[in-house]
Amino acid sequence: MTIARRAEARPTLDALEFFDAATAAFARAGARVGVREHDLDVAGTRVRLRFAGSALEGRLLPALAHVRAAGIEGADVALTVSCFDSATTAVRMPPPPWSRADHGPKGEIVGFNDDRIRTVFEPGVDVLNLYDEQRRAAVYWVAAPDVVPWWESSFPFRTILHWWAVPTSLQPLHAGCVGRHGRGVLVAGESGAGKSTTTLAALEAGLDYAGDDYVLVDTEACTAYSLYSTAKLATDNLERFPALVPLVANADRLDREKAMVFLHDHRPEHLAAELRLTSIVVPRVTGRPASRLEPTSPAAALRALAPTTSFHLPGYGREVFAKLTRLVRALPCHRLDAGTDLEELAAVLATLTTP
Amino acid sequence: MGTEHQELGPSSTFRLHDTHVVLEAFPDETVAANLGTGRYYSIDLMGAETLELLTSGHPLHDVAAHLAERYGADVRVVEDAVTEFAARLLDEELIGVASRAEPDDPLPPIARASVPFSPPCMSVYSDMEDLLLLDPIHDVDETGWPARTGDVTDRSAPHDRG
Repeated sequence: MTIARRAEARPTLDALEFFDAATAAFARAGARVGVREHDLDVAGTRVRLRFAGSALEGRLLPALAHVRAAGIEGADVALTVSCFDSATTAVRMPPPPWSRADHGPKGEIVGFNDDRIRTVFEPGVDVLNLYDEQRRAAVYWVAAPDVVPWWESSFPFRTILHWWAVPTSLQPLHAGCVGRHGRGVLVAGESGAGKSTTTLAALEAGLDYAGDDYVLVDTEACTAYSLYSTAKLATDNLERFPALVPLVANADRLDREKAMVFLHDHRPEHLAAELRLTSIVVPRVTGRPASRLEPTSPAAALRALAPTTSFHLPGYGREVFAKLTRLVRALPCHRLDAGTDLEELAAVLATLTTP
Repeated sequence: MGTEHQELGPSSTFRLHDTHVVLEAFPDETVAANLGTGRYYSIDLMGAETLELLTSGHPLHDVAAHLAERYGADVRVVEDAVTEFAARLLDEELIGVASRAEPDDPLPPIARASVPFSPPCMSVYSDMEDLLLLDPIHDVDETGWPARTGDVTDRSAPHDRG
C-alpha cells in the first residue's frame, strides 16, 4: 500500500485554519473583481457557485447549464462553492502548509483531511479542492484559468460533490444514464467500455439523456440525477455520430482532447433532470453488428461500478462501496453486448425502460 | 506481490485487515476491495468460505482439516491449496498474520458438501492502479504551489480521468 510520508515539520496551519485562510483569500479576490453567483438545482437541492470574476465561468459552467436555477434571496443552500484563480484576481492562495511528501496518490493532503475538513490537490489537474462538511462550504482554486484541463470542464466540481454526498444516500457515479418516460438505465463500466457509445446511441435514437460519464445517483431511491450535460467522444468514434459533429465545442483541439458536446445548447429537450432507475447494464464492445442483453450478477455490476468510481473520487471508499452494493442489490443487472449497429443498440437498451 | 511468507505454516492464524478491506458476499462470488491500493477482487465460493474460516482465528491446519472433511478431500491437498490461497491474501494485504490463535467461535459443524473440493480462486482487478501517480507533483513556484510549464492541453489524460 502506498502511504505518503508525513512532513517532519509541524504544519504552520491546521486543516481548518487553512480552509479559513483559503476562504479569506476568496473574499479578497471577490472584493477586487466582484462575486458572481450561480445557483444550481442538484438532486432537488440548491447548490450555489460563487465565482470571483468571470474567468473560470466559461470553463466550469457550460457542463452545468442545464441544472442552473434562478437565484432566490434567502433560499436554503445545501452547498456553497467559492471559486477563484490567482492570475486574474491578483490574489494568491496562501502557501500550502504541507510539503510535497504529503501529497497522497489521489492528491489527498496527509494531515489535512479529518472528520470535518477535506483537502485535495488533484494531481494532473492542479485544482485545489477544499471542503468543510460542517458549514457545507467548499473552495475551488486554480493558479490560472488555463490550468483547468479540458476533462475537468466536462465534469466540474466532481470531487466536491462527492464529499458533499458522503453523509447522504447520494453518490456521484462513473456511469451514464439514459431512458424514457422517466425510467432510466444506468450504464456502468470503466472508460473505454462503451458507456459513451451506448448512451449517445440512445440519445440519437430519441431517448432521454442524463449523462454519459458521471451522474448523481440516490442509491436508496434508485434515482439518477443529471449532473453534466456533456457528451464526450473519442475522436475516432465521432464519425459514428455524424449529427453530433457540427455541435462539438472543441473542434479545434481534437488532436489533444476528446470531442465535447454540451447538449444543453443543442438538445435540451432530450436532457432528463432525473430518471428512476430500472436496471444497470454493463456494456462490452463486441465489434459485431448485433446487440443483446444477458442477465448478469450484482457482483459483476459492482465490479464495473465501484473500482472506477472509487479511483476517481478521493476518500470514502468504504462508503462508496456500501452505497454501490445497495444499488446493485436493488436493481436487475445486465451485460450488454454493444454491437456496431447503433440503432439496434439503442432499441435493445430501450427495452429495459418499458413499463 | 509474490512475497514469500516465512511465517506461513500449519499453525498460522490470520485476521482480516478490516481497516482497509471491504467485503460483500453475493450468491455466486464475494467482491473484496483493498481501499488502500484500489485493487478489487472476485473471490469464488470456495475462496469465500476459506477466507471466512481463515479469519475466524483458527489455525490454518484446522481450517484445512475442516474443509477436507467437508469436501471429502485429502487433507494434504487441501492444506497445500489453503496455504497457497493464504499467501495470496497476505500478498494482497487483505489479511495479516495474527499473533496467536484467538478463535471467535468453534469451527462450524461439518456439513458434507455435494461438490468436490477445488482450490480457492481469486481474480484481481488492478486496472485502475496503472493510472495512479502518472502525474506526479511538479516543482513548486515562488508561491509554494506546484507549477506547470507548457501548454495545458499537452498534459496526459489517462482515460480522460473519467
